[in-house]
Amino acid sequence: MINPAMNIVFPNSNESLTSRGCLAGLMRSIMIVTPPIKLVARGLLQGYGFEQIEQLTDYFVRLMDYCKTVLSVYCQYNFSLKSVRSIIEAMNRLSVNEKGAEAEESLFCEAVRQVIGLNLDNETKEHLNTFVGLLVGSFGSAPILHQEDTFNSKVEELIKSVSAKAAVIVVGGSLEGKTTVIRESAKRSESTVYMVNHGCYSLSELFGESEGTSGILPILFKNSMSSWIVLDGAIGRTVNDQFGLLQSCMAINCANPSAKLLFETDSLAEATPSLLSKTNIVTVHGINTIELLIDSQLNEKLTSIVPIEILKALSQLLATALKKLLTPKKQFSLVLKMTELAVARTCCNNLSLLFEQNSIKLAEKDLKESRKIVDKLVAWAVTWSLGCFVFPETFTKFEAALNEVFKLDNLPPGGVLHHTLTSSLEWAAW
Amino acid sequence: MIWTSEAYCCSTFIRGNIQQKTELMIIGQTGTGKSKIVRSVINYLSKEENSLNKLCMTLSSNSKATTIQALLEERLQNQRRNGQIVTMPPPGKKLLIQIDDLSLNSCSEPALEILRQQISHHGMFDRCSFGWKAT
Repeated sequence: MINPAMNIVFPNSNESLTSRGCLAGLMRSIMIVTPPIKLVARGLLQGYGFEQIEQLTDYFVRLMDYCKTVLSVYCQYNFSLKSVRSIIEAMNRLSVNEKGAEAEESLFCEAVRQVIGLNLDNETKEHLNTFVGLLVGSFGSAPILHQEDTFNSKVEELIKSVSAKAAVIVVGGSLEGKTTVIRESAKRSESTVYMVNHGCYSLSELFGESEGTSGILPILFKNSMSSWIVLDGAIGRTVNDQFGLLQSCMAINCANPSAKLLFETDSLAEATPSLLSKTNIVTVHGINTIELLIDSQLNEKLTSIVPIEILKALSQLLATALKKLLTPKKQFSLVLKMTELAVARTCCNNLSLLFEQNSIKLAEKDLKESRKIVDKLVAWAVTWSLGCFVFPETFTKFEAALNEVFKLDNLPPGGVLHHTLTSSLEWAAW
Repeated sequence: MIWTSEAYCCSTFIRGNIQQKTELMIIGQTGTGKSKIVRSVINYLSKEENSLNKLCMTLSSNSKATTIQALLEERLQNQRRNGQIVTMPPPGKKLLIQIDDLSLNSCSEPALEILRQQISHHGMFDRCSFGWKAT
């Protein structure tokens, strides 16, 4: 006989469990339905002491409709009641002494920007901007949501996100600057960063043999005051399944609440909704451009060898040449799946190699011929970073495109691929 | 080995990158002479400079992160730099690691991840004391 004193309560949002008839059949199920957004929003707004409750509730209902229909394509957004609560909480945080219809409307806009707007791409951001402008009735005045992504804005956003929640996911492609943003944010908030590549350790090494005993993460959580522990790697099964354990690991071992958990990943495709709803998400995308990368790499490697004027011209021409060659997507079929930034980095690497190996030194007197020199150097660097990865069938196309960018008389007969540059910057066969 | 102009230009790039301490990945179909070229460049460099220590390993689907870490740690020593303990090759020596068959499909993921960690974060966690060891 079942002991009536023992009850099993099984909160679950996973629909697949219902297919396990045998398990579901043993239990009496209770379904919790989604409560109406209007009621929840009104209650929360009243609780926080806002005045224009009816007006703001109306905004919320419309905003949620918009989010469900337009923004739900973004896998990282869970537009359920949690997002309503987050926006209202953000409004409450922002309102220090501001009350009254106009102030509350602008609070609403700012909260929407902080909670939803920051992680959208520019096109969707414009769309959301127009929608909120129409909703609040201030369309035509200064854009409320629009904000260009810069390195500084991302750093600020990450600091805010980390202070709001103990766990944050930083998403972005390789070379986009995720690690730099994390390190800079930690520096500004006076914290230490510990990078853990969780893919190369077993679960017992990461978490310890039993929960919270010795292991990489328990020791890090225990010993490091005000630290950011960054799990660098794909969010796959390990992170999804072990997130509960991670949180308990933090709770058990953290005497200091200043320890934060960050995930650094390139895709959220495999993250589960439960993980996403418990974390903040910061997207790092588009802040590292080809120009910035080339500028910083060339400055780092060639400042002592090349006069500053030639260096400037070199980085400008390199950026424009790469953009022209790479902009029509799939123009050439490449052996490797290289991103634009990876090609740019290889270019800079090749140039510094050429200067070092052939002991080339450019002096002020070369300024007169700078155009010729820069043309040659860029043609060589581009060919040896992009052209050498082009499949033979599209190579003629690549050479034609290269001829379009550079003047024909600057290129050697027989193609750049068979030539190198000597110390006096003349073409010579390998 | 027959030195064609392609082999010569590849070896120039490989040599330059090794001297600049840049991580290199060499790609090509079977029989194109990847391993041969790399081996001859390494031999040439080790004759030229006595300070070069070589470590060659071949990866397979059975390769484990722990084995790779142990192999790396065998060649490194604990040294004190700026008040911190850093694992590094013996003083005055450089360590050159050649990894054969880094075929991304057949290799086990942890084995590749430990290499990624070493390249991007320059260090590893100790498997016994669980502390960070910068390299």
